[in-house]
Amino acid sequence: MTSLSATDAQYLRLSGITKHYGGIPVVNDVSFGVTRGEVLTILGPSGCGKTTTLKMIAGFLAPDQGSIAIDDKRVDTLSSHQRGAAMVFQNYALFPHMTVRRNVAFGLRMQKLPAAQIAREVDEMLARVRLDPYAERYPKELSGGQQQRVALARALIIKPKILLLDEPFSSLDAKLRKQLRVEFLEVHRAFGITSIFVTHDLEEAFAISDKVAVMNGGLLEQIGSPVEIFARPRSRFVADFVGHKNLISGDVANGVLTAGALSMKMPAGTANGPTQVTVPVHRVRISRGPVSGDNAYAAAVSSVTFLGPAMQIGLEIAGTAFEVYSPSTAELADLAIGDRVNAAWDAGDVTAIPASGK
Amino acid sequence: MDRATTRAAWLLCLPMLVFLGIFFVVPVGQMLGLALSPKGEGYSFDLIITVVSDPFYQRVAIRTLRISLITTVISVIIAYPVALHLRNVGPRWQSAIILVMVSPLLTSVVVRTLAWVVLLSQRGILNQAFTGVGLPPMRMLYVEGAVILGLVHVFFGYMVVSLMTSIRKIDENLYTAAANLGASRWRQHLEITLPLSLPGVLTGALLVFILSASAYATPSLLGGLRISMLAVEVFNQAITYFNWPEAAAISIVLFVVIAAIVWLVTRVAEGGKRKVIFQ
Repeated sequence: MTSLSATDAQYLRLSGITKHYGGIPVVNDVSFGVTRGEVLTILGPSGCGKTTTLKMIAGFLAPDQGSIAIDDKRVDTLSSHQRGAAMVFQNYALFPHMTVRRNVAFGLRMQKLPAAQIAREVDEMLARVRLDPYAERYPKELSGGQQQRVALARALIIKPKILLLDEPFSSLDAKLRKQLRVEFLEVHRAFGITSIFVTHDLEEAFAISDKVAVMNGGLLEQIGSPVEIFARPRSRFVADFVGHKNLISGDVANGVLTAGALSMKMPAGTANGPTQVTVPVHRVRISRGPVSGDNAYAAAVSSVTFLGPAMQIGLEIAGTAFEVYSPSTAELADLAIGDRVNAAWDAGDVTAIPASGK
Repeated sequence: MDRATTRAAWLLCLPMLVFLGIFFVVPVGQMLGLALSPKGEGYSFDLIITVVSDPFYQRVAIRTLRISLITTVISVIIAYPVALHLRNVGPRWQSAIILVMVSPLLTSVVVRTLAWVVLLSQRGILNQAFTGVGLPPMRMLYVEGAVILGLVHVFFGYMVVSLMTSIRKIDENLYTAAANLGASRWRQHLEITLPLSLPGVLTGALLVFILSASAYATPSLLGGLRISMLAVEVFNQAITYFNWPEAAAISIVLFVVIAAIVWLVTRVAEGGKRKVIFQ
């Protein structure tokens, strides 16, 4: 990949976006940038302001404060159509009385293009999303995956600058969701369009995104790659939301955290003083034999849950309860409550959560 | 449904079936008998053919269809904006507007229609106003327009309710999606509201048409002897001339014509490209 220009790195730019409903800030001073061609997911529990943020990007809602720019151009005052932001709705909102072909042609018909050109472009689009055999069907005659592709095709045919998706899988069962996720990624790869996705589903956000923006109570808590968000949560909320279980408060002195009987080496450069840290559930190595690591302990097993490829294991280490996820290895197959094991993790995996985080 | 529930369902319908059997099917059957066998000796279509080929009845029948059609079209045109507006107002306003719309149905047809007579007659309020400002009095009663006015007033509520039901079902996101793809407000209604409300238009139109075509009180009071409609002729033959067989024959012609139109309209609507909407 060639290096990105300054504009490409901030292809979509939100600056200090704020929206109040009845005096209450639903979105509060949110700023972030999205790189051209990437998938950014806004993740958060219901009521966190993620859908409101999406609607403001789409132009369905006007922010009270702040500005939105797409491709270096301020779009705050433009209608959703003029700003080049095409939307895929939660239930797809396909026109039930139009065939697949007419649904996809809708945006071009609104531009009053010549009929021959519309027909040609629609045919091309239908072929690209593998819908050509279904062109004359009505939406209700299609499967969920096909409906999603119609919704994507209908949005993409107007060549938008960004694609917005509002929890498009939320009403579906787990298996179908995974299938649609794959289909969405295929379409995204084929068109390379900058996409903003809204979801409350952690796994979904991690699976499809280049970048995740976690929101809570109208505030942007953290933005980063899925790996960053998961391994290095920067607030208590993000740590909880992405599934961290081992949050420990203690005092750091000379690179070592002490919390009761537990002491733990911290990454180099950690400041002294009261600190809250998280030990990621997936970074703890356990074995009946010796394990090496900056922080190595003897542990007692307090619970074992078999999850298939992984095991969820409760441990007690120096009077502190831990929860870890370990691969279901042969060695751990017959692990039982009360067993003694060794557990270890590296100082670099321990993440301090800034005190400003809630 | 299992068999027990099916039986229970039939049992629940029994009172209605008995009622309809005694008070609808039997008299209609008797009427059919009367029309096909006026003297009670052998059956023939003679009387019906006489009625159908009578130029007077032909004129009345065509007038009946014309008045019903115009009433239906006017009802659709004035009910549509109301139904559209109902989509955008809160539930409290919605109930208030619906109440106003159906209020004509809360009073007797005769009272309502006599109110029109008071307004429209030769010395009525409107003509008094006209002569008051120096205009000549106008003939507003016993003309087709008066009958249409009265019928629209009485039946327009059905149209609003029927239209509203189908317009309210339209997903709000369809409009947002259309706007997002560049459709103006006007285009959105043309592309979404109009086609998706067609089932409501059809149901409402059929209701208004059938009710208008078989109306008696309104045409007899506002149309008088000049603007007669088929139902009025049925009444005249049966009550005024005591000619029950001919009244029965006109009734049957009216019934067949309406049934044929309803069948034709629903067939056309359900066929073709629109079939998905009407499912």
